[in-house]
Amino acid sequence: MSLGAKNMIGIALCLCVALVVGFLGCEPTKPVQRQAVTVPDGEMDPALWGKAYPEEYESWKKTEDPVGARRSRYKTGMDSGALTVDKLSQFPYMALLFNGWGFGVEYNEPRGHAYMVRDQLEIDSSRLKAGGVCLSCKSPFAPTLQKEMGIDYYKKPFMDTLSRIPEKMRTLGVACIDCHDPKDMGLRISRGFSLVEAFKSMGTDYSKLTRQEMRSAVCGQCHVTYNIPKDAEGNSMGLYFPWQGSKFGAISVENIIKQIRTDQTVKEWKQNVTGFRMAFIRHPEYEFWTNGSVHFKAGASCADCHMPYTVAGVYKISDHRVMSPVQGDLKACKQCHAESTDWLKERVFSIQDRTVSMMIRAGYATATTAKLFEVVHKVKGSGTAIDEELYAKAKDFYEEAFYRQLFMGAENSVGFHNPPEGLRILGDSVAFATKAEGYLRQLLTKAGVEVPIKVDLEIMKYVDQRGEKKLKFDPALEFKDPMGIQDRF
Amino acid sequence: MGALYKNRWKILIGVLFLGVLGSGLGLFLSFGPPDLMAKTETPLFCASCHTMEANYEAWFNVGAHRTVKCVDCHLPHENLGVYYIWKSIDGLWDVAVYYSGRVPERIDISERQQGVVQSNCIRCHEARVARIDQERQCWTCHRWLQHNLAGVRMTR
Repeated sequence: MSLGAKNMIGIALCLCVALVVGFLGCEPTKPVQRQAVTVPDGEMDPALWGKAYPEEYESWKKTEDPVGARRSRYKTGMDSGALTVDKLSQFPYMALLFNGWGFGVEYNEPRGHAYMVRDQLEIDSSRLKAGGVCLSCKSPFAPTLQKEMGIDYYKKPFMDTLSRIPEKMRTLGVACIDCHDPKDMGLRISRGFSLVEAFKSMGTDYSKLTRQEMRSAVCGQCHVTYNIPKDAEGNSMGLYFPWQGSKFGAISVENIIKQIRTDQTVKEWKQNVTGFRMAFIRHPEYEFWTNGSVHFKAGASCADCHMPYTVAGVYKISDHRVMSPVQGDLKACKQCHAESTDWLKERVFSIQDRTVSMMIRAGYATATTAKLFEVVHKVKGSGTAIDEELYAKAKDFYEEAFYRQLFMGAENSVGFHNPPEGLRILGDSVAFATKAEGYLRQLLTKAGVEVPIKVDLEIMKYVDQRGEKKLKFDPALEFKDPMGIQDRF
Repeated sequence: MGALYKNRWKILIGVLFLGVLGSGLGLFLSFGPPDLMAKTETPLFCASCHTMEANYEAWFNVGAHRTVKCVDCHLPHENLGVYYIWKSIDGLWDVAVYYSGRVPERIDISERQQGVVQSNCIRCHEARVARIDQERQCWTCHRWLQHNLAGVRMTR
């Protein structure tokens, strides 16, 4: 073996190693974000969180600011910062249908997130009769209070429970801790007693939700319909979401109605016109939107549209001034859609006009049937026998119609969150209501009572001079059927 | 056999010599004056297969990323080794697909490529996306980056 050959092999090997190292190299170390301030676990005060996350904090504070100009066609609560956008004047049939409890007295379009507790303190006190349970979605202290007070949390008077919150933060609305983990700002569900239980009732393991799904689930802590079970004396005994029988991504109005019609403990109020004890449906945004809507299926989240990414310094952050994309001048839509502001806005309004048309028709069809029940009850009260089979069928269909129009009237997007589903629900509402009206007309005719072609709803009786404040009907606010169909009935 | 064994060092050295010469020639062609490595990294080279023309046109006509090349997004950039290895594999793969007549009518991004492109989005926009969800594919919102959908922006 010659020495030269050995050297040659050595040199070749060295070259190979050098080449490999040179090519593969070492990756430069990645910059890691430094956390200047640590937020202690359980910290409620947003000002403290704001020291760690100033950009998010500043945008969150803006939920207090009015939008200033009217940009939305149907949702005007945030425009001026005033409380009095009277929903019952906008949709007078609601005053008739909700007559019998707080919703029929004072029902306003919401202002920004910052106002949630302040709105409660200003509204007619009949709206707070359920008790401390009303704080569940209004105060970041709710989960702690629920844990500390147990069943008392639900049933003790609202003001008593509110007074347990430190005075400085008593009127604080949704805060950082409601959605975030102070450790790393990750998303976290704080309403274990309501949302997590509801997920469990559908067999959904919420700990397996992706980050993107969590960007909707945290909103689903409150933007959902809920029911308050009552004891025999009418005290609030708990709080739950009627998702039984549904699946994640397919919570249907049918299943919700089935649940609240069969659970006798959630008959929270009595409808004056018909005398029926009923359940109620509130703002079912999460259910409506996740039920197969196009944006849900496309993988969007609530935050994508209502908290669009916005540039703060060198970062993109979620804009914490939560609001409707229409109020935000369609900026959120334009993240994905290349069309102009006007084009996009026209699409939204086109959907909402059609939905409002059907809402108004479903509302008045249901109200007409309610008024016929009033007549039937008078006839029955005077001792005339009625066809009970027709009555039972009419009552069944009436409730189906009522809950459907209620669902869409309470949902906050005027149909946009899931347009075809919204029109389906309202179409079904009209069908059930008119069918029930037919049965009642047949029943009354059989009982020898003549029913006029147009049933007088006596709407002013319900919409004007409401409650202790004697709230007036404001005709300037009323929405008429944009398609003009209702005028023909 | 005996002769081979006797001359084994000479043969080895000969092979090594040829190897070095070949590498040298390769390096010369790739990085020397003929500059083949740079030439095969130009968008025009990618578009020289006419099946890529539509994608080339879309890239060419759509704003912000016109200053970056196909390979900036479509090859991994963790380090040079990985980069050149995948450049060879992807390049040869495309040649094979093209000459065997198996190019699909609509060219869609493969699953592996999705990861490559996403990592390159983050590579350039690292600070901007530091505080948002990086698992979501950037182009599902910034849709005009998808070459097939570039027309959405052009026809508005």
